[in-house]
Amino acid sequence: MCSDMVTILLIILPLIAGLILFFLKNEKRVMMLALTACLAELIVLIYCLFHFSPSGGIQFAMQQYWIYSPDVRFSIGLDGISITMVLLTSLIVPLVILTGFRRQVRNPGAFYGLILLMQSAMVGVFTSFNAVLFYVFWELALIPMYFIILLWGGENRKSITLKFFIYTLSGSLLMLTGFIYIYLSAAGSHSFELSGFYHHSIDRGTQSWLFWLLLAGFAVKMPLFPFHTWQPDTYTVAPAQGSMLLAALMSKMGIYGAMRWLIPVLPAGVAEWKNVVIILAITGIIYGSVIAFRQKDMKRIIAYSSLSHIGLMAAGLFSGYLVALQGTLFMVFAHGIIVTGLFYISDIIEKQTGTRMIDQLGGIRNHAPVLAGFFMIIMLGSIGLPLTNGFIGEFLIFTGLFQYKLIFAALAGITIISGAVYLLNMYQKTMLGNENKLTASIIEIGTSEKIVLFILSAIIIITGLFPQLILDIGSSAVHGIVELTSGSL
Amino acid sequence: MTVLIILPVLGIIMLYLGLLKSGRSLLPVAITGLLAASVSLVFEWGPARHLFSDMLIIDHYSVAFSFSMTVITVIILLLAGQYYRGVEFHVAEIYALMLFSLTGAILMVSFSNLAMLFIGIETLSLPMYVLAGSKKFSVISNEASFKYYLLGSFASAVFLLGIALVYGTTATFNVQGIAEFVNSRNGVVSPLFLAGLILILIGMAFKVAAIPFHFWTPDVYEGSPTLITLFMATVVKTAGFAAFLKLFSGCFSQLTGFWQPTLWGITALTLIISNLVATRQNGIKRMMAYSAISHSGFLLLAIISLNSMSAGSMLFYTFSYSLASIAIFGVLIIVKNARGDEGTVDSFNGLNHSDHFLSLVMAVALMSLAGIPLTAGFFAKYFLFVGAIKEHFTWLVIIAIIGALIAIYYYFRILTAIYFHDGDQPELKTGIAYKTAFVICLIGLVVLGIFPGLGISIL
Repeated sequence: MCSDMVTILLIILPLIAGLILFFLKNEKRVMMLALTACLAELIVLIYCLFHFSPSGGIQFAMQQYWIYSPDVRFSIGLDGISITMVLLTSLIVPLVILTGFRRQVRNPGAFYGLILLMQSAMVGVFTSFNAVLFYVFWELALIPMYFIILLWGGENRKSITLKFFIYTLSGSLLMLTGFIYIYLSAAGSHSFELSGFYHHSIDRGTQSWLFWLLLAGFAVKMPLFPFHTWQPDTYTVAPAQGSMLLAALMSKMGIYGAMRWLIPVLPAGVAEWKNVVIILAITGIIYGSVIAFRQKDMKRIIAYSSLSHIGLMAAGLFSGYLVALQGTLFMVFAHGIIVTGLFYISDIIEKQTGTRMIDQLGGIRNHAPVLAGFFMIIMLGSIGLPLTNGFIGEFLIFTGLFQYKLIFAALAGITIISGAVYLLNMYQKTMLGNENKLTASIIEIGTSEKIVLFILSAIIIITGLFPQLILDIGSSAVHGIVELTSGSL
Repeated sequence: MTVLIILPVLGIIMLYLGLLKSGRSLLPVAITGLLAASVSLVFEWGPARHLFSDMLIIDHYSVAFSFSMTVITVIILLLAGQYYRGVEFHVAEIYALMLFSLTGAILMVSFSNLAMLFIGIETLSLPMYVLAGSKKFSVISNEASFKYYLLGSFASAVFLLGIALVYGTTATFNVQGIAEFVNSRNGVVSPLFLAGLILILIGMAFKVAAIPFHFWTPDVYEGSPTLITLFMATVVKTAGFAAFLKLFSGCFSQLTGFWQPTLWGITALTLIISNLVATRQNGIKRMMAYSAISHSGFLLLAIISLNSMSAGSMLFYTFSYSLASIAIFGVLIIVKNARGDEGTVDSFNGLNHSDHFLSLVMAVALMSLAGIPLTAGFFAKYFLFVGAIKEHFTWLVIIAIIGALIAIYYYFRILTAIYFHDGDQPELKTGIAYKTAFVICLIGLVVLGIFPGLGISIL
């Protein structure tokens, strides 16, 4: 395989498969093709991982002119951070597709086609090293999601999707404005290349407001408190697979974007505002936990818990400490896996009983012990119990925050730990206790459900026991980012 | 410039064909003639030439815009056959007037003398006044024509007074001469000249429908026959903006300190108000009228930033905007005819169930107007933004972004109606000419969206 074509293959493979899927009607064939494409993608990625040297900077790179003037290039490649994100994407998407097995989605060709188109755009986001290209992929990832929620979502989806769309688009357009400004200020010949963005001569005062333009795009996507108001509704109204993609992958685009396109690009702006952002992030952690505790709907609980975890990642990211950044990258991966599992379990329960309200459920473990077991592992991962991958990320971030400011670490730590209460509560109310009319008829999960949950749990435990598997891939690239910022921090 | 001979002659041929009652040959002759005109334009491409004792200048700018407008007219005429079938008896006159109007448009983008610019504007406008009222027995069409005529001639008068004042101080109509006059005074000119400049600015703002000089637009767009509205939204708008840019970059580029603040205010108002009002509209034609005003706001960014990128980004924007407009108005014509109503957002309910192709056309066109990536509309906006930020109009760009976000709301209202509302659609008949026009628009929008370099590198 020609090495510079690998990255483009990673983008094109799901794109082509997705487009073909639109023309297929038969659900079985659709699933087969979608899964084959995902597996092929995974194989290509594994090939990359074997030929990847973590300290080697950007590899499998390709650069072509797209527009001569103003200079925009189609430049893609993989470095440690990218490949971690692409790995997460290529693990989650096939699992998400598998969760639809025998679910009889309406118009399956379009549904899975959109998922693959989204995967293609998302891989584009994680591999592009040109600001305009990054922006184009960033928007392209949004459009399939919009249609997935609008066409297969729950009640009241029209106004919620419109809010979601306008929110995220307004953030990204402000981000685009920021990019154009940086492009025009880049030293020497103007350039949209990431390397050009790292060498500009923007003074401190300008960086200070430019910071907010860029942050708008990333903060809405994450979402960071107080830009989060679209999130709980959207997660709840989206079809289960949509929620998984949103929480596991799309929100991570925000973290990734800030890590690559904000923190090293505007170090002076970050230095000026990072305490504000960390305070917002910690407010989000507390807010998410408190609200989650008051919720009855499983999906809403997961949505708010996700908000809280994203807050922790953002806090770690902006602390600027190497160990916290590595923790953030690891947690992006870990949380992606865990939240997929949580949404899947809530969906399994809803499909069988017709409700997601934890008050109306109980005693499911009596009938479905395997489901309860998997739920336990995934929930413990989410709480961050040692030996699960949830622990590693949180631990590293706390270490970094600790070094940065004790009060931040203390606030975030206490909340995240006490946040375990609502997850335990959810587990207790649904799985334990007495069964009732709704849960009496529940049956044990089938093979396909077992496979998905097994893979998720296995990843949670394996990467929890051997975190170096993931940490090693990205550590050198994260180190590079910290070095770029260290001058002004 | 052969095209200036081809077009009027073609118009007269139209009139004779009308006399001879050979209605069938009208369109083929018109389209062949226009294609010949566009081919002749391709051969004009080359170093700048001055024609008619320096009344006209034929350079890359004028040829590119003339070509763009001629091509757009051809695509519009593709829609005309089915539109006028059995409805109108004097079709020949309508085609002839459109061709005369196009001649005026070409004069407007090629002038090098203010007198010529005025002649161009009038040659463009007079046929348009008649065309706006060409649905003879419709009161609302008559009203549109009357309103357009009164307000249009008022604006022309204001514009003319501005030219007179400028002439009064500089003693020349020549663009080059005026620029040299301003240069020789180092940008310090008499108040008389500045008053003239402001009047010219107002006249142009009226022609391109910038707020607060936009009041004619919604009524005229709504009242005119849909095909004529389409012509206004595409060719007339392109000509207006191309002339606006040519005039201000040619004559007044030394006086930016004077007119930029005014235009800043006009642009900001245009961007915000038009989009806000458009969200309240239910009729598609009125909504598109306000959407047209909002796109004027975007295009004003190219004039206010006035740098080397302005011309290219304006050409790209007007062309991609025209393609998207043709697609939307074309589908509107089909849906309106089949349903026999006025064409509101609800008329599109459930369109996707009855016709996938038309829905796709609408979806791509709306996304392009909204500026979603991989359609031409995204790069059109992107180039304008780059140009404006380069000249430090960052705040104006942020206002433009807010406008674009509001616009998403009403474009997506139509999109939701097409894809997610249930509704009964009658059998829709899409003729081969319409299909051809739509396919051209679709390909244009997508290709320019993926390879924007094709369009932007021309100027």
